[in-house]
Amino acid sequence: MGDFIISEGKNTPTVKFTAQSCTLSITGKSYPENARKFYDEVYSRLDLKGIKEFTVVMDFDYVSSSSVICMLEVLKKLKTNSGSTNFIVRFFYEKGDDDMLAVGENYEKITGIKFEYLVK
Amino acid sequence: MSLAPTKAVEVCHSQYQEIYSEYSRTSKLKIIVSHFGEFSQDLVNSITNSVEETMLSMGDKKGTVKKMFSILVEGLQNIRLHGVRDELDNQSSFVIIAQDEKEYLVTFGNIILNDIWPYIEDKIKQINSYTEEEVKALYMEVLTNGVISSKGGAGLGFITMAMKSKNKLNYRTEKINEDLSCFSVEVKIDRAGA
Repeated sequence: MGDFIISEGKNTPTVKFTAQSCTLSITGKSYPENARKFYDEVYSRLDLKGIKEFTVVMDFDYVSSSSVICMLEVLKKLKTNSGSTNFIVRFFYEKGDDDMLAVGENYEKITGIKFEYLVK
Repeated sequence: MSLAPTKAVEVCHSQYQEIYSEYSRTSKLKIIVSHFGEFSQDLVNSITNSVEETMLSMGDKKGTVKKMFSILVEGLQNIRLHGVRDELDNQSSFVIIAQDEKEYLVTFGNIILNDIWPYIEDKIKQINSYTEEEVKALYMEVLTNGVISSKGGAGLGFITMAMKSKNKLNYRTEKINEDLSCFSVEVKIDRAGA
């Protein structure tokens, strides 16, 4: 799987995959009108074959409820279809933004993937 | 109002005017945004971004601004995705945002099918009867077990609005005909609460 980037839209985040570090980063505001379509597209670009360690960086300024659900689906599918890949999720939030922190904590509870929380 | 005249437009516009007048009659409240008609995605982006800028320029806390942004996105996307169109393809809908020193009031209105009204009412009544912790638990339950629609939603919109608002959701409906009603929901955001 090579590098790819989905540039930021008016209501979609920047999605960037760096093959060298096996890191997928999602940055910015996420409230696409059809979140399922957007996150299905992200998932379709990913291929974890042969990847031992995969890092997901989530740095949302804002995330709509439909984006929360669809990003969760991406994490669930990655974990289910990953075989022996080890996941690291780095989840950024602003100090005092408990709502955003809760998004990460809910993901961690549901997926069982270990999250690292970082104040930006 | 640039919608073709139908009973649905008339009833929805009448509810919009009624709420607008109620806010206007409340001396402390100032209406900062109001729109009746259809909502394009560009208009949704424009309203959310301009309200965010206005609130920051008025000195609202960042947390309050984020709550407003979230509630606006949920409410306006709900209108666009689920607002029912009438026989002339109008998607009658509205938003009114008013403020005073202590709070913001945001009302969203759109047309719904009478068949789904009992489901919506049950859901709002359930949310309103819950404590803050119970609403959070409900959110987690729906997130964990919810079925995602083709549009990417799973019924988290009202729950998210209630969680962000930390207040009860007020609502009203008015029947248009045997199939349709105009529905509106009011969300309160405390300016000191974030």
